[in-house]
Amino acid sequence: MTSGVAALRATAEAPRRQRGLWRDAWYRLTRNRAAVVGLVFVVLVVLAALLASALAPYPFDRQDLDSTDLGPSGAHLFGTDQLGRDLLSRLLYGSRISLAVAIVDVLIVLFIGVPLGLAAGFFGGWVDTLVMRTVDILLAFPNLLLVIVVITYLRAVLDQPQGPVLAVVGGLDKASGGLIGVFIALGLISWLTVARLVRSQVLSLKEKEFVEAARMVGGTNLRIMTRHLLPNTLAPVIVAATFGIPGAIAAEAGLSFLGLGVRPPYPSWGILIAEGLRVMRTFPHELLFPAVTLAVTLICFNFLGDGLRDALDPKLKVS
Amino acid sequence: MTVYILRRLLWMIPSLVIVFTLTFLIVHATPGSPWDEGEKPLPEAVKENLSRQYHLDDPLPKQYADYVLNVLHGDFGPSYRSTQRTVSEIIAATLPVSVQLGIASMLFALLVGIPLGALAAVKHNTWIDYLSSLITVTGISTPPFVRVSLLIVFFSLFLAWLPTGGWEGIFDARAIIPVVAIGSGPAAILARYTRSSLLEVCGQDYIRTARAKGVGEIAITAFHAMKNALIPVVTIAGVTLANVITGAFFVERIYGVPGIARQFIDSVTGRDYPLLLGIVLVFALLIMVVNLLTDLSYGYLDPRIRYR
Amino acid sequence: MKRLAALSLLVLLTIAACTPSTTGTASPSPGAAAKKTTLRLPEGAKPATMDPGISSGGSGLEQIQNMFEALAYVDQVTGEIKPGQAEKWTISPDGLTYTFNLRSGLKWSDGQALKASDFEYAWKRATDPATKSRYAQTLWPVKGAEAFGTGKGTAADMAVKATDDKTLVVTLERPAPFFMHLVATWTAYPVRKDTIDKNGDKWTLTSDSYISNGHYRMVEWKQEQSMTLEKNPNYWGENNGPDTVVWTLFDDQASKSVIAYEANEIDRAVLAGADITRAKNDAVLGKEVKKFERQGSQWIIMDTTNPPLNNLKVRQALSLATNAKQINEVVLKDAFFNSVSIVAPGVPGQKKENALGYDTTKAKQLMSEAGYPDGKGWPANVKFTFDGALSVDKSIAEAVQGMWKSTLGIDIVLEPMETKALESWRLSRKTAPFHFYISGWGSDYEDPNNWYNLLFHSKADFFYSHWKNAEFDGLLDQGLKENDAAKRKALYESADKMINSDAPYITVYHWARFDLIKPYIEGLYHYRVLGRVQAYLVRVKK
Repeated sequence: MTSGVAALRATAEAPRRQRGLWRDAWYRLTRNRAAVVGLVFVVLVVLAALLASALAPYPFDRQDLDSTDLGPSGAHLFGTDQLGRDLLSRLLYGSRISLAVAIVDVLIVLFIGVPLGLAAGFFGGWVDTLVMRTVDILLAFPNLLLVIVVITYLRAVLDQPQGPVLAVVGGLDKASGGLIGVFIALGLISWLTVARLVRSQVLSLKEKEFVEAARMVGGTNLRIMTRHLLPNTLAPVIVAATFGIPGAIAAEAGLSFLGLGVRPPYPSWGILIAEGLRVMRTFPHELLFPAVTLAVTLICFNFLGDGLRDALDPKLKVS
Repeated sequence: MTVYILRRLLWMIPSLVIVFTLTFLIVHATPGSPWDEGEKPLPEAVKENLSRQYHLDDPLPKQYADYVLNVLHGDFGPSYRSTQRTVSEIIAATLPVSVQLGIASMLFALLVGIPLGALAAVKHNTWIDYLSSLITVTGISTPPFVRVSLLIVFFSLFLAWLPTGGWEGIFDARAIIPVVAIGSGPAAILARYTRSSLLEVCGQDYIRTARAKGVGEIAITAFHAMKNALIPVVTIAGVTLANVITGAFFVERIYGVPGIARQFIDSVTGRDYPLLLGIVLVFALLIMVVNLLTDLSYGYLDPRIRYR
Repeated sequence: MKRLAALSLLVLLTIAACTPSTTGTASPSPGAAAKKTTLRLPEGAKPATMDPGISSGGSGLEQIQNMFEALAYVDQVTGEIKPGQAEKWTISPDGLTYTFNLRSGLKWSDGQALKASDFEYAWKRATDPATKSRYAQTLWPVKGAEAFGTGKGTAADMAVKATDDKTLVVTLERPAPFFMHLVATWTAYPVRKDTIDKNGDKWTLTSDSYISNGHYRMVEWKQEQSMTLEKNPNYWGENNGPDTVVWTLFDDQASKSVIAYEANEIDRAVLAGADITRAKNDAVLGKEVKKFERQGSQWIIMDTTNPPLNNLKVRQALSLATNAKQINEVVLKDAFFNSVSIVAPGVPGQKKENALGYDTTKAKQLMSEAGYPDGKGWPANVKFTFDGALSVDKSIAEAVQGMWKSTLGIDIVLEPMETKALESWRLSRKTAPFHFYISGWGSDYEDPNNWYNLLFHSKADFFYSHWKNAEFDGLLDQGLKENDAAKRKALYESADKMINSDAPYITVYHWARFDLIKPYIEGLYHYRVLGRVQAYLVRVKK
């Protein structure tokens, strides 16, 4: 019963405490050493992506067939690939696509997966049935085929005179270097797990006293969902969001390898890794640098995610 | 409860119909015919004959009706690409392999992931926690196809402990690399969820109460926290089990395991429509059953969750 | 909690149970006792079918060829046509009637006598549209076969007839100088009626029902894993090859078979990409590397009716600015043979002097004459289409894009496509415009008909380049009818010059096969036309 009372009090104080919560969170985040390291590195990666054209020693597509597959040297810090292109430059430019994919994935998780899971768990009944049966169907559906269909028709249509809707879609595809298929695939897949996760949490939470209490004092459904249930599902959501990223990057590489993703010669981390894998026993540096870059970035994302989770957890405040 | 289960089981029928119909439609909208093999294209006359023989030139509604009728009789039709086997035979031969592999990988993941996560939670924000983060994140940041290739090169070539590929059942040394390659991803995920869930639960009042009463730290974790922390873990395990069976494509392909995930992608890229439709139905059923079991387990883990 | 503990225990037991006992049973070692020899080979894709009448010649063909024999066969070293199941044959003076005399005492692998009627049955079965053959057109030169195959005629009207147990008479629609090559094709292998009638489509699945007539017979086919063959004791001739042949299936042969080879699990591996560089520089592997010629060409195909490629000078400039030698030797790690001309070397008519070659100065000059000096005025959105799943094609596309940019100052857009989507895109190019795509061709038989007439004649236009030259077509029509080999060759050589200088295709490389072969294996050879490993020619000296 104590927690119910605490929650009641918290509800009453919520508007006033909101700002304090964020300030507290920031304070706690900056006190967490691992999280700070993660944050700094993530900021660096974002900067690298934004400033790739200024930072890269060479254009990402500059070929030099007289110096192919070179190991690391002064001229090429990370070596060169089979077309004599500078790997460091390709990694820097590649971070743009991989970050774009990561951000879109996280957005899908947060803005599709979480609300749908919340609604399914909270309302139950036909909402739950609709959302969860959709999840079941999409998990089994051959999404790859849908991506193939969309991409093929899109590209065929884009060759012809276009209507306004297609012009926008085509522009988006062009601007993202052919990523539209990857985004479609992510949109179909990446929210499914999170929706089920959030739903499972809500199923358990909504039976707890503080939700009953909030309802008693006249909290609306929306208010209960956003103020009481959402914060309590944060932990698995953050993990899902951070872990979704490597999956998304791998999916991008996979689709690009089928000719459904990024248009060559544009690089992405996923492509660089998959290409490096193919030559790993002959030219290990071509796998090593991209793979290590990805791993380090993801570790930092995770440290940041863990830190955020701890920082935003109101219950840990006392200790 | 019984009503709930019954209702969920009944729901599977329309779900399967929707999956089937959507797949059927998308399959026929996808460019490319099933008939090209090898490095040179087939002559048009041959392709036309094949389409006629397999009734692919019938109107779409007729094809759909014919196909549904056959499926209702338990006949998924012939595979276009493995000409001598029916879809049912291929599924019967490959599904058990993937299920064995999936269950073994899942057990591996549970066995490695949950203890690792629990350890990290208990030693929250110490070097053990960071090390566990490092291991799990490194595990998850290498995609399965990289993982299996590295495992093969290291264990089969460099150390020469294990064969480089093949399948002789789950109790053979050949199963080790695929199980580890598939299971290490979910293991990392489970470890992270276990850690975060435990931390979440540890902050709650009844744990504080238990702690105040002086019960040992480990005992608290084990007996009070674990069960509640398991809800997201079980959810993830459910989703992952389905993923592991349906998504082990790279590992099955690279290690030469005759499983159904490999058939699935081959049927997509090869446009083997009857096989694809058959596998999609099997996958859908599998996923629905796993998800139902997951949902039912919530009630056991948290008795307050009741299904009506 | 208790349940979880029980579960964990179960897992521990399972892992403990499966780990130690079986480690080390890596590969079946050849039986030491009777000096039985085994040849262990890789196969690159799941055989779609083992039915010779249905096979398209992709994966599965190597196994089929080792188990079956046609009336005649192509010698895998010299390329000559040699008598197989037929002892001899005669051709009527008008070139229309072929009479085959079978050897006496021919038997199937189960001991039953093989008769000429088995051939008649097999040929008609393969042609029958209901058989769903992927290669039925092979037999269409036979009179009445095309009508039967397209549903306009009947089996009875197809002019192949067993006049007695040892004689097969075939009449053609029109003379075909290459017909004996077709007779040697797998589509023309004999198959057994009783096992097909009894087992239907499934006759190829088990060793009992898969009855063959060649050097080997099937022991076991483990779908998606491996196939094992043993010597056929009922084969009419000698077989000094290995006692057993095992193929292991690798979906990704190029990367996986090398690893299995290095782990001593197989005797031959397929080398590709960077592994070639590594193997060549390796002290041990370096001595086991073998490169075989395959009579084929890989091209960049251009739409000669679509601007700017309808301009001859543009096509020539692009061809001259493509450093195919560098693409093969540097980018593709010398995996193929350097480009010589459009048609692959060795095909009668092909002449290397006819090729345009590589010349950047000339290329630049032609490009400015065409109105695009240093790429100025070059249209946007000129697309280069290729299969995104093929790393070789992707490398070619990227390399060419760079070369044309640096030499000619032009920009092209790379358009990767999914494999099957590309295939249907390609077929629609019959009417729809395009700029560039990558494709290739390899000989089915070493005859100019298989290249010039079948691919480049404006009526065939197999690759939809829409290139048309009346004089060229005329030379090909003459060549088809000409029976004098020297005159025929001269006709095709003139045609060859025209197609090379008009440049509807840019040759990137000629096909090759790169192998690692264990030092104790002798006689493992790939013939340049449709070459597959013929186990009876191989000796395992171990």
